[in-house]
Amino acid sequence: MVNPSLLQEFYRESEEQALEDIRYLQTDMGLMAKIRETFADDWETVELTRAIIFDETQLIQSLTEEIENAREARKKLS
Amino acid sequence: MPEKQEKNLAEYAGDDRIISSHEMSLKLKESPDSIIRVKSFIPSLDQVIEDFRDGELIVISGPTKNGKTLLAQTLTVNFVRQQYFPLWFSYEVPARQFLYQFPELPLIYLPAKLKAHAMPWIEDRIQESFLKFHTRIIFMDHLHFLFDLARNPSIEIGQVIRRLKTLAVNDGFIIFLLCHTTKGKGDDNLSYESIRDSSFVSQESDSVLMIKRTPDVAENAARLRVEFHRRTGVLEKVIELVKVNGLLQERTPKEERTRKDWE
Repeated sequence: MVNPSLLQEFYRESEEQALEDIRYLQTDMGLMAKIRETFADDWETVELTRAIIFDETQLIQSLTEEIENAREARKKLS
Repeated sequence: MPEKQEKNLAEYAGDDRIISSHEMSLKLKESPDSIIRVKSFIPSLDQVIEDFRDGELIVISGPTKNGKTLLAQTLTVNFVRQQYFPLWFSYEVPARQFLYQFPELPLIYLPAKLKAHAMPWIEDRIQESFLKFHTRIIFMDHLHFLFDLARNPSIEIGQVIRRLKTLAVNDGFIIFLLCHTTKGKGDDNLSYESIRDSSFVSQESDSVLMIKRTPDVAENAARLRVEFHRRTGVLEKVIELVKVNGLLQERTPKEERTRKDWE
């Protein structure tokens, strides 16, 4: 049987990690938007940055869900 | 004028030096017409304003509970679809309510904590958001939270609007500012003159969009009026809207037909 406080700690850490990742992705999306704007005449760059931003928004969404699930699990344990 | 100052001015070569119209024209041709162009995805609106562009201050107004915030939220969702993630200052609606009003949470940015009546703080947050996330679109709900009403509102509004417009032009932002009207709900002749302290607001803004619910037409219907748009020269263009799935969209003949069939 796993110690509940250990599990809580695990969920807390995964929450923190996911939040860190979200922050990193948001900053990277900002950078991609800047590149897209700077090279607006270069369609390949525009398309590539668009694709990266799209992937990053999807990732942020799934990380947000991950945090919500971890919080829910932590609540059940307490 | 002292000789030294005269000499300095005569040799001045700063970014803000005086240049000829020809030099300015060449400079302008080197840079793109606009840094960003975003669509509202409301077809008639996009047609009359030819997209929203950087450097513009757009005012959204209308009576209370008539869809100002809903219109701003609709635009937000449609900008996000184009991968432009706006920065929001939602003073009117608390953050919890504001975020959960969206049918699906879009990726937007907002201050973790709001400060009212603090223009320098707002300007700092706008720059912070731009440097961190490259946000070029800003929504402010609403004007009367940006200054201290206890002071002289007319002078304060003039200063706030001018600062916002300067910010939009100098740094390439699109700023949407929500404002209340002075007149009551029952007034059918709303125009930009109904905006509280209208002269300052309309003088400095690039466009005024007035919105009003039209329950006589349909339960979820609203009327959007582009009062004026400086760049395109459009005046008093009316666009019929309807709320579908929690957001506004243009009322199309198809919806009109469905409604008639229902009736």
